[in-house]
Amino acid sequence: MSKSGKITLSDFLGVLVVLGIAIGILVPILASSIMRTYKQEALTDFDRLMQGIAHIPFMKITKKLVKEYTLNVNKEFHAVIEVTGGAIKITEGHGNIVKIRVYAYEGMPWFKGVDSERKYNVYYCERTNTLSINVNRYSVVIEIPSNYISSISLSISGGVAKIDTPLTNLKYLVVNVSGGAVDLKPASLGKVNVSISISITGGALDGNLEFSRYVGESDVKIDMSGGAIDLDIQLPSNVKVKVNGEFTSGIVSVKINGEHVGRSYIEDGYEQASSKIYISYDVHGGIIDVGIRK
Amino acid sequence: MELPSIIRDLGESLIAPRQVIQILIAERRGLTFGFFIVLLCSILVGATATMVFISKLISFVPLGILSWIFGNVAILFGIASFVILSIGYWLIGGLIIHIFCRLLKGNGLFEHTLVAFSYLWLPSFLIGLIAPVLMFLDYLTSLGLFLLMLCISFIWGVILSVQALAEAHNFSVSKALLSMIAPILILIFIFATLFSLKIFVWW
Repeated sequence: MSKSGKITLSDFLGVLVVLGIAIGILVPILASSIMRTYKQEALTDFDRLMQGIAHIPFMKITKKLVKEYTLNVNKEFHAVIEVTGGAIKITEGHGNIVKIRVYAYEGMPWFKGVDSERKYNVYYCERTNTLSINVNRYSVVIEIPSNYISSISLSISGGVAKIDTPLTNLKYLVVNVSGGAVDLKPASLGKVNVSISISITGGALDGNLEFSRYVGESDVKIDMSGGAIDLDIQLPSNVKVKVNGEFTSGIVSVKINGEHVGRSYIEDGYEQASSKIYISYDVHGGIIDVGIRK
Repeated sequence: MELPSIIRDLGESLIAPRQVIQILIAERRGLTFGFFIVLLCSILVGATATMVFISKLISFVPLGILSWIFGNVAILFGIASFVILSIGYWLIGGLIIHIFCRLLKGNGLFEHTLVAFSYLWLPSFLIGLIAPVLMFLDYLTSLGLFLLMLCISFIWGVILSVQALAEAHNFSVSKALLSMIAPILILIFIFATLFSLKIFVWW
């Protein structure tokens, strides 16, 4: 203020400087408290962590549709899938149409990988009614009509594969895992006799095999020399169970309705039963946990 | 009620740095004035920069109590780093500027050079004024606005410092400008030499 009592430009600017310094120091400290309140919603939940990371600018990872296929398939359809990287997901389709969508990851180079190493190959042979897919560092979504698919052969050495669809007419499911992760959630299995073979030398498989009412004998065969399997098998109450296992090393846990069973187990009335399932395992390493529920 | 003279000095420094530096030199309180300007403004810039660059990023990652720890450690670390770097640059840069001022026939003392050089930090109060806005903006916008204000305050600071330096050493503005950019030119020359000798490998 000047001696005449008027506020001069210097006074005004001086107050602004002091205010600016005070605000500039206090606000970031206060801001840290506000951000803290926002952050306390979640602790160390992995999914939320990944969601959070995906929203960090410069780290945002998006998917871009590269190609879409629509195939008219016949009954008794076969799928042969090989995943060496990236992701594949099998979901429920409609009619006799198989839809395949191929997505490319867009984001930081360390996530999407080197372009020259990315590849996918989709081929459908009408004569054998077989769809062949190879994936490396792409994300592929396949819609398969549940009552058309007869067999699935899945080999995975890296990346992620997920089967999350009813497979009412499935006869054969062959899964070979040497790396990566498989999430196996087929529902409505067993309308026909189904044979499931799981071979794992590395990586992990998390499965939930849900059988609907059926007549006949289904079987689940597990060969394991490494990695981890967590397999839940949901059976109708009338299905009788037989378990036969071999293991030389590793950790094995097989439970029926929560109760451990030994290497060899035959449920009363198994031989005469019209609906039964035979579960066998051969373990030479790794960890396996099988839970059977009726 | 009359405002404290320090507030008027701060305000007048922004529009008439030549007059203020004369008063500060005459009253022998320039060094204290300059030191507190550098200290407070470096705390301001350090805290705001950490909020914009680090705290906002951490808030995207829900780590609960760890986010709180990281956020507060980052603020403390950011402030400490900026204060150390700013005071270091004020003293070392001031020394280099002073040497060049003397080479260009300036007759001021090292103390006067430091006071004039401290004006470089003064306009960063602008960043403080927009700090509440930066807090609520999204990451990229706040980053862009912060960098824009930093550029504006730096240019304004150079203008003030050059004028104050010319007054403190009784030489022309062009000589003062040459003395001011000398430390930057020296740093560029040193780094260019080191890179050309492949002492540093940029990858």
